[in-house]
Amino acid sequence: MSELNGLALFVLGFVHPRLVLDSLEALPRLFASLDPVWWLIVIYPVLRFLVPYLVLWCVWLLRPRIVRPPAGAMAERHRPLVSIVIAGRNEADSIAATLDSVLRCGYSNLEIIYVDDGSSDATVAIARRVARQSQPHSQATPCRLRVFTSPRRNGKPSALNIGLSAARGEFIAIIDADCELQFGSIEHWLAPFADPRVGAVAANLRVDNAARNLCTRLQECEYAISVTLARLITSRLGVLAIVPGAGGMFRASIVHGLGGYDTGLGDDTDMTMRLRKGRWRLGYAVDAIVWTRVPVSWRHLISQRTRWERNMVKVRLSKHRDMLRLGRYGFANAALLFDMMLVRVWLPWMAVIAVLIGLMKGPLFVQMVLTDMYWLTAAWMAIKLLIARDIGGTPRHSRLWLALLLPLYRLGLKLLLLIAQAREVLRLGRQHAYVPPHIWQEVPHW
Amino acid sequence: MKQAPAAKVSAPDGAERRRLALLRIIAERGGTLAPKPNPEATHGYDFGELDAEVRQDLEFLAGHDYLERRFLDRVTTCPRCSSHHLNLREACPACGSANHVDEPLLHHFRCGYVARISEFDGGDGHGERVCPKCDRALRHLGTDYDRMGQTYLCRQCSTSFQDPPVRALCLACGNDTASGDLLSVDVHSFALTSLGSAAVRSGRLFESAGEFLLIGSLPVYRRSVILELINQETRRLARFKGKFSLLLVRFSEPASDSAAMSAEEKVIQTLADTVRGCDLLGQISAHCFVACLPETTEQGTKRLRERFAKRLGRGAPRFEVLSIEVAEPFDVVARLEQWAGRT
Repeated sequence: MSELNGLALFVLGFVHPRLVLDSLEALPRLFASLDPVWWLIVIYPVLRFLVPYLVLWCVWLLRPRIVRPPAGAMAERHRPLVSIVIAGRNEADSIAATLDSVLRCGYSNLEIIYVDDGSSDATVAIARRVARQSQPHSQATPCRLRVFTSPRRNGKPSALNIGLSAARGEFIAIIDADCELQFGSIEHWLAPFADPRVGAVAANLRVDNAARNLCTRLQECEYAISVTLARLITSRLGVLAIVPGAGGMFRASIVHGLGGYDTGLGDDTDMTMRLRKGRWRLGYAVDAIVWTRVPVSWRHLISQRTRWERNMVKVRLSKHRDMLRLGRYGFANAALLFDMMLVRVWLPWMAVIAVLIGLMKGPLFVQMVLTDMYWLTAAWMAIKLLIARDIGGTPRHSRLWLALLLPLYRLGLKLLLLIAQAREVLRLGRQHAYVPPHIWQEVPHW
Repeated sequence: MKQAPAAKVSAPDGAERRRLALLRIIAERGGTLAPKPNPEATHGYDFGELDAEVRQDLEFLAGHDYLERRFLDRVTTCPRCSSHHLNLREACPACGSANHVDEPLLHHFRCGYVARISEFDGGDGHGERVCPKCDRALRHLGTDYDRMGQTYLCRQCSTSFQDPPVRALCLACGNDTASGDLLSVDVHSFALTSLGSAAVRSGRLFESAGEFLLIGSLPVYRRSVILELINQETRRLARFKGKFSLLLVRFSEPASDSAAMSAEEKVIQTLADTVRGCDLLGQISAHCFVACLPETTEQGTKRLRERFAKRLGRGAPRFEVLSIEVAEPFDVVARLEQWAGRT
């Protein structure tokens, strides 16, 4: 084989036609078999990653109102009081814009509670200035923004709990201090609560600073697929895995009943799991848009994702592992946790091990498989981005070419996150700067 | 420096007689007239037995440099009825009620629960505190739980808040106002200037055309005139570049009798004789004078100061001299006011 052929094989992931024909002949036998490798590595990912998106796209094309329902009648009917709780620390650059976006979100029956978690910059002064400026001149109109300060840094969950203790609304929305709420979002956010079985609703997170650099553009594409699109599917299937801390709304009675957030890492993940255990349905409002700022450097991105991955191991797979028991918390919860263990832990580790073994036994074959996988994934990413663009309006058409980079981006991140998983499982360097030391000493570590 | 031109003097009319009488009263009271606190007065201060017209006359005399305004107090008033009878109190930001209570929040580190202190009451009668979320006893403040600052609870609408806004209830008209919307009125006392003293001595106000520019017995411009001339010089500097200097003379102690006043006048007359014909000399407060020296550098001003000191000799009243070279346009007048102690 000439060097040119070798290069062609590497680039195109060439597969011999004979191999394809042999595989097609083997399909009936594979479907008839009970081989776990066939079902878990081939069929399950196809059903998990391909079919739902195609079904969603078809539904969108045929019945768009099913996918994006109009704003709820409930908000129009009696406009319940909504408390928006924002916790932040050292957010002087963004807090004014965040509070301003909430004050001008177009919903009248609103109270905003900003809780400062021991900032050392001008955040509190800025928040108080915004509160003063928003203060009504007449006594008849209540002041909509209240500012609370914590004497020392206690971490985000505790700061949120201060806000929850002061919230009087029938519904409580949580957004991050560096996020902005899109005008008219509250009505859409309230819509799923028309179903009394819904306990929380996730907002659609869109990337505010996507144009900054390649890192943020890739994250925008990632959010378009795994937030805008994927949550449309998981919420309809009853397996929405997260009500994000950057944009989640809850029935106040439930959150108060649960005693607010637990301290430690993964506040939003933990709250989601506790709601699921309470058998509450979790909704998703694709038109309730919260604009978030994503990390602009690779170092911050890896740090953020490492924290999320450790939260996953600590909260989902450790603290709430009892959700796997079918009879206790229901099939959907068990399926959700099983899926998470399979897709985020078992499959990646198996893939890494398989590649390592393959490299030892037949390097060229592994090279071909990986190249094939790259092109398949890139093509599939492009289709997903098109679907996301069609349904959610993100990302821009000019950024669809990033589908070529997304497989490499996600592979790189995944490999780094496997290290984070291993560290969390082995309990190495668990203390995280996200949680202050005096809190870390007291909380139970799962 | 040119001398004051001879002016045609007409007999004082009714208003002028009244204003002269007011200047005499002020001179008899030691040169200062200060309003007295009076709860019944609109702004909380009035001038006692002097009638209502006195305020207009004082404003006139201050505007024409016979009197100098001195800050006495700042009165906060209702924006609707101007009354100073205001009840200021911390109010609930939601309902405006002043009926609230200070109840701190507690934070349990282990479970993150935050609630009012009363919710942690263990109910055993021994002061034990128990977290209602995780049922664990709270051990030691600062170790496993903490107070989350000062928090208020409104008894009217159950809203909790920190940093309550201050609102003012007008006891005269019942208007409820945010503290930021209240009006502030400055109350001034009035002190006789050298022009005012000259008017008292000569028994007339210097309001004819020529006298309007220069202070009666002294070859110096009135405050309003010299400030405008300095402003004009600053504008010229901004347009054509170049520079000018200011020489400031401030007497350390106010002249209390006629001898001291004539000594001050002698100093100023000497300064007027020392400066060039193109220089401008004016008064910016009762005891502060300024010479504006166009196209003069710091060295030039220094030489002028030396000449001035030489001519003055010994025995002059105590005063301080300051010189400023203005090469870039800035708010010179504000700086002068600051130096003269008027702001």
